[in-house]
Amino acid sequence: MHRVLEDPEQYPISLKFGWPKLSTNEKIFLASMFYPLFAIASQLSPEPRSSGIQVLETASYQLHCFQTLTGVKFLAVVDPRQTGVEALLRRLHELYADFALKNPFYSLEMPIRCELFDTHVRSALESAEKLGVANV
Amino acid sequence: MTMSLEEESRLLYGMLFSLKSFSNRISPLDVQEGVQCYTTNKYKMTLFETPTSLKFVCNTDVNAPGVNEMLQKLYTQVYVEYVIRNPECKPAEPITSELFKAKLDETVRMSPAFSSKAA
Amino acid sequence: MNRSVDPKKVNSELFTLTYGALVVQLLNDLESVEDVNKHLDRMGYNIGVRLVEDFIARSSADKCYDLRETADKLQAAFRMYLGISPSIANWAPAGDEFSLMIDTNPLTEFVELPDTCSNMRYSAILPGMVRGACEMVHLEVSSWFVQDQLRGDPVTELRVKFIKRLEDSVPPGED
Repeated sequence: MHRVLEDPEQYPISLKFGWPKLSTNEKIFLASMFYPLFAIASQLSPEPRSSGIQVLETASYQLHCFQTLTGVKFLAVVDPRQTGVEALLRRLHELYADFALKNPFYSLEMPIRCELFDTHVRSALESAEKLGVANV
Repeated sequence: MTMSLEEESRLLYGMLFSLKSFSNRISPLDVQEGVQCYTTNKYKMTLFETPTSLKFVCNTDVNAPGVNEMLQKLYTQVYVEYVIRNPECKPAEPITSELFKAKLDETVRMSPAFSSKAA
Repeated sequence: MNRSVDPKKVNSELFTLTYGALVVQLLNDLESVEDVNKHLDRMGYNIGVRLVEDFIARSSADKCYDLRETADKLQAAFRMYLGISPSIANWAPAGDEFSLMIDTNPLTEFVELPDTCSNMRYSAILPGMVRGACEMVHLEVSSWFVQDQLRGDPVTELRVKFIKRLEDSVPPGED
């Protein structure tokens, strides 16, 4: 990494700092951990007919969850200052309906390994990042 | 869904435990400060955990302000004063002290979280 | 010959042709008309379970609280995906069954059933789709053709009957 930075021929470089990535298995594990918590929140509600967890807040991150009518959930782990997450999740829903569900070679319930889906998701995330985090 | 207070407590306790475990694992940073609150479409649950792992939980309206501050106040000004310093209150037993209940009630009513329709 | 090219019409003709080619291929491969019917229904089901998510995303659909709302949504879906506007009719007195009346079926625009295939349910993909889509939103329904223009009826009537709610799979917070 240092070598790259010191070599003038590599400039201009764009650096992106991000959180460490999770493996597919870790994601599946975490999602299955979250699912009952989501449901129990609905049961513990003081008011009837509550939804499951929509936002989970901590000091270092926020977890947003959007559940569609079929029970499919979209989760996003974001910086607490990030805005527009609801819109992002809805956009991801559209992308899922298009590039995963309409791809006949994608099997339901399996991890999505469709390049078109990945490309579109990445660009949706980039726009959300650019528009979203308030300048501190 | 109606359940007894005991069932609810048990479910809540299990849930908080799993929630903490989940939060630690999904946290992108190494520092793990724990869950502050979660919101659904109908309510918000705020959690304040002391360094001694004592947990204060409160359900409110989605937009209720200052719940965390209120819970902290309950800890320092009510619990520590009227439970810890009360030789009658034994650890791990339900708190029966009337004075504690009165003080708890008073502190909650005075908090901004209460005036905006606390659940 | 001056035929103006309407892109939407061209797409639908290609779709009609593709569907037809599919049916004929199935007939060649399977030989029994009844097997073809089953396959078309199965395919429709598989399409329905996926297409429903697209419908929900694009129409920002809300939960249905009764069968009438489900009927409205199905009607909207036919409009969105097939470009036709079936009317809703023939409600059963118990309110658990209704029909979608289709005047022009884009699948069968140029089709004539030969005598050897008179019991083919050519458009069987459609009731399959209805069944698959409803199942994903936790509604078990059965769906079939009561009338079929391909068999000489004046209109194509697709009937939908509510069987039960699939309680086990209702997502949390949606009860």
